[in-house]
Amino acid sequence: MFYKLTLLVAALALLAAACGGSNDATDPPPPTLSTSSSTTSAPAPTSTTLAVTTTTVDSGFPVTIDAPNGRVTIAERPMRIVSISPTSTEVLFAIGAGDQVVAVDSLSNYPADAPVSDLSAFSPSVEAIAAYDPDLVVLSFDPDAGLIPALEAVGVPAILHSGPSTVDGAYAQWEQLGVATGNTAGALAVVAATAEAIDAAYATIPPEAEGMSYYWELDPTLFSLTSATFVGDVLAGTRMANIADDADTDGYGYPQLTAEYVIGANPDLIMLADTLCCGQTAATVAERPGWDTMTAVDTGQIIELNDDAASRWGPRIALLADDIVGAILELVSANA
Amino acid sequence: MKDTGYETLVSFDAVTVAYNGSPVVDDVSFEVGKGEWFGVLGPNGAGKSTLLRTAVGGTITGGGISIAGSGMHAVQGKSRAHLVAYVPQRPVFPIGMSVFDYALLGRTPHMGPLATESRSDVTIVWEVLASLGLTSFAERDVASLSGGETQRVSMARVLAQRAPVLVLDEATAALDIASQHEVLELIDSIRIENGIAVVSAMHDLTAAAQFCDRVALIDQGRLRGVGSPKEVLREDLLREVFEPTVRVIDIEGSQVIVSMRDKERR
Amino acid sequence: MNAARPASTRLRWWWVVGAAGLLVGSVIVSLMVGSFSIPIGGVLGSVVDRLPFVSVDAGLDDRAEAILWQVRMPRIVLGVIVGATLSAAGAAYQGVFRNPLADPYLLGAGAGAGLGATLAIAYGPDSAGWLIDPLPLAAFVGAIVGVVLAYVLGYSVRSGRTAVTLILAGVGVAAFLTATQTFLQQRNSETLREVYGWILGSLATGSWADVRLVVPYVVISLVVVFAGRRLMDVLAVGDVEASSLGVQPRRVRLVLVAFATLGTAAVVAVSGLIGFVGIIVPHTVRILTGASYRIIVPLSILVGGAFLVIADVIARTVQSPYEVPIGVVTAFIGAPFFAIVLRTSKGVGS
Repeated sequence: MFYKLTLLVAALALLAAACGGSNDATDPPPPTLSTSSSTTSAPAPTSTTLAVTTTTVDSGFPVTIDAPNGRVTIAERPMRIVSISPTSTEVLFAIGAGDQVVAVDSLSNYPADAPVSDLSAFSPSVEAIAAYDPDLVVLSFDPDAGLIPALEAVGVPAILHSGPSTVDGAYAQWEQLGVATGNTAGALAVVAATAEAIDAAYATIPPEAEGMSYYWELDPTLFSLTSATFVGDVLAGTRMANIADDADTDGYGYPQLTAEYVIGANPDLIMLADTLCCGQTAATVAERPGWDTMTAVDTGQIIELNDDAASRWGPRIALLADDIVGAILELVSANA
Repeated sequence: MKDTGYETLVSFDAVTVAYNGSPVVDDVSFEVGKGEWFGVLGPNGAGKSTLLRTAVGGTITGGGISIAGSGMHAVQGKSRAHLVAYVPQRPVFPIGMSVFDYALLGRTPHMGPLATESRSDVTIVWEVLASLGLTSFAERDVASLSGGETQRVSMARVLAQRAPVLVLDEATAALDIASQHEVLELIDSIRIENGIAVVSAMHDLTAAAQFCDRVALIDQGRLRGVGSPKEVLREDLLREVFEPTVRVIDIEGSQVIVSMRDKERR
Repeated sequence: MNAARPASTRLRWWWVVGAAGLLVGSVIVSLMVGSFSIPIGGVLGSVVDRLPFVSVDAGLDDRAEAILWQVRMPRIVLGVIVGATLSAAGAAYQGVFRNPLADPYLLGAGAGAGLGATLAIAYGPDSAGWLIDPLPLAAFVGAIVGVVLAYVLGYSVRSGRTAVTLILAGVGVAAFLTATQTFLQQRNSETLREVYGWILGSLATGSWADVRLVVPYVVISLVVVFAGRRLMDVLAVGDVEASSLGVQPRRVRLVLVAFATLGTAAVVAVSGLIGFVGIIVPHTVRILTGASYRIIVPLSILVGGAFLVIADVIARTVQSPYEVPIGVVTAFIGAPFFAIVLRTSKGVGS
């Protein structure tokens, strides 16, 4: 009797070990890349400020991470993740944590099958979030710095990933989410794929494009961003000049320009990141008084971007880079 | 009209003014003749001001006023201003307004809808200022004048208005004896020269006795007596309306009304 | 007999010429200023070229011409219009309420416009999706509704349809509308930046379309206020005495407030709530030239236009290429200027 019991226990233990270790084996790897799928590697050296000190990397929990809001310990692989950050939602689904997510905020519109709720990204409510009984909350915005302490008080770990200022910073966030959700390999794969895609796109830019300038429009009142912002960093590989740089006298990164300034600077490319919020298109821009004298308007070098894709820092930045490279190539061939 | 020799110009007929049911002026009737000086007398709060204001558009709940035969309820705004000039107890003297412009306000009823002055309006104002000895004051700020000077400026506006009836509410409050007399003499000479009927509320009964042709005594909104000063300003009536210490003395044929303290207390 | 009023009470011709000169001068200076530099000769040449029967080659390329005539000029013209209208409206309010601290936003026009703008920004559709931009329309309607509410509230007081009652009603209405606006902003906090930007006022987005939009309302407003200037002088002696002079104070007040508000609503709709102009300009003119509205109204119109154009020049240059919101500039230059004028004058009461 006793001998059969021991065998049973041993079998169960082996089974548990086998199941625990098969997490990453079940994650679908990105189709086109052969990545470093070794499950024992440390996080890729592109991590900057987000250190990950883990007891184990992928084979199990608990895990402790140095999130921007401090040390966060996650006891078990989270299966009820609530994301009230549209970017984090995109990242979670991209790295393979999609089926661990139970609720996302009302503005998380990508991917389409994310479980959208009426949680608010801008004025989050502890109680509303707690109603989903989460075991991990990801947010990008804590308006009164009260949400995270409140979540901690009810024992829910929270990670604050607000807008990074560089692309590397974004990669570090994705990797950190990978570790936090037990999808490290998936995260690393996504990071590598994105970086490669961006580099490949930029590699196709001919030398004639060097020195061209661009204007990035955030809203119709001419708020723009400089090369010192995240988007500016994404576009750094194009080696284009940002016309807003000279206007940003206090280094804030998001100066408001004037019509006179933009017309006078005459950028080669205009990028509209206010198509969804504010209905701006190449046509509406051409109608603005005096703008039709700009070469970009004249030759139609206006890119209408999807606001969300252009303002988030998820894996879709590869698509952004692609769009922009496409426009540059068109411009170069038009000038040829 | 009674035996005063004046042709009726203003008629107050059963005038009543009531707020929330309680009457402040209760069924007051009297007539004022052309060129006559009619005094409206009574204690504080008797309703004198309210009564006078009904002649210039103030609230009236019952009865009516007619001037030169036309019922005032049929006469609006400008037309009424052609007939009645009004000086309240405490006239407003706007800071920065010149004496000339203040007097020119009297011409408003004669101007068009936008109150644009004509050459004749300007000429009339200069004439009026000259008649009151105010020519050198024309560019002075009305708010900078003394009490006596402002009274003359008020009269300038009244004269410029050229209305046959002048309604005055306490023309001499807060003036000393000399200024008081001066102002009343001025009004009297204006009245006589221009044939204006003056209806004035007065607190000074002695002055009323000397200057008014006829008076009305009002107490708590009701008419207690109307007639010549000799008929109305009798000691018994005055003691009833005012207080028992009132004494009426005759000096050279004119009544002097004083209030005498008990002998013991003097 | 003299047929002319005393010299010191007249509207001196050289005041008018001086004010007009100030206006023209400020317009010219404003044309020369901007983050994109255009040579002075080019600016003047281009302006002269526009005169009929004159043809001059200003030597400017298309972009410079576009900046000059599509960006700067409409903004300057709008500045003149807004400044003149707010100043005239301010003079009208001051005259009608016998209060030198009255301004066009006194009866709730400003609060109403702010609420309308907030509603449009928070709940309105994209401006490109409609035939007309909902924001100016909402602001315009809001301004008018604010004043109407003040009148309804003021007139509901049985015994006191006086100027003071109306002012109190206006204060109450403005407070209520502002509170509603604040509440809506909190509920839609992502709109905060846009709403505050609008409230601080700006001529930056001024275009010829905006000018065309406001001109009809402004012209009507200015004509009525200008025509009513002498009636404001009559109102100065108070409602009772004005009534005895054959003027109907409540009716005059209503008409002047209505048309002053019409102009205010129109300019606020396109340029936001630019403050201080409506108080400072007429009051300063009063201190310098005397209290008659015959003089204050026409001069306020000219000086008001110049004042706002100058304020706009400062807004554009002091931290170029960043633009300071014009409401901030008007407050910053208006307040000390006013203090200086007040101290060097004979002093003014209410």
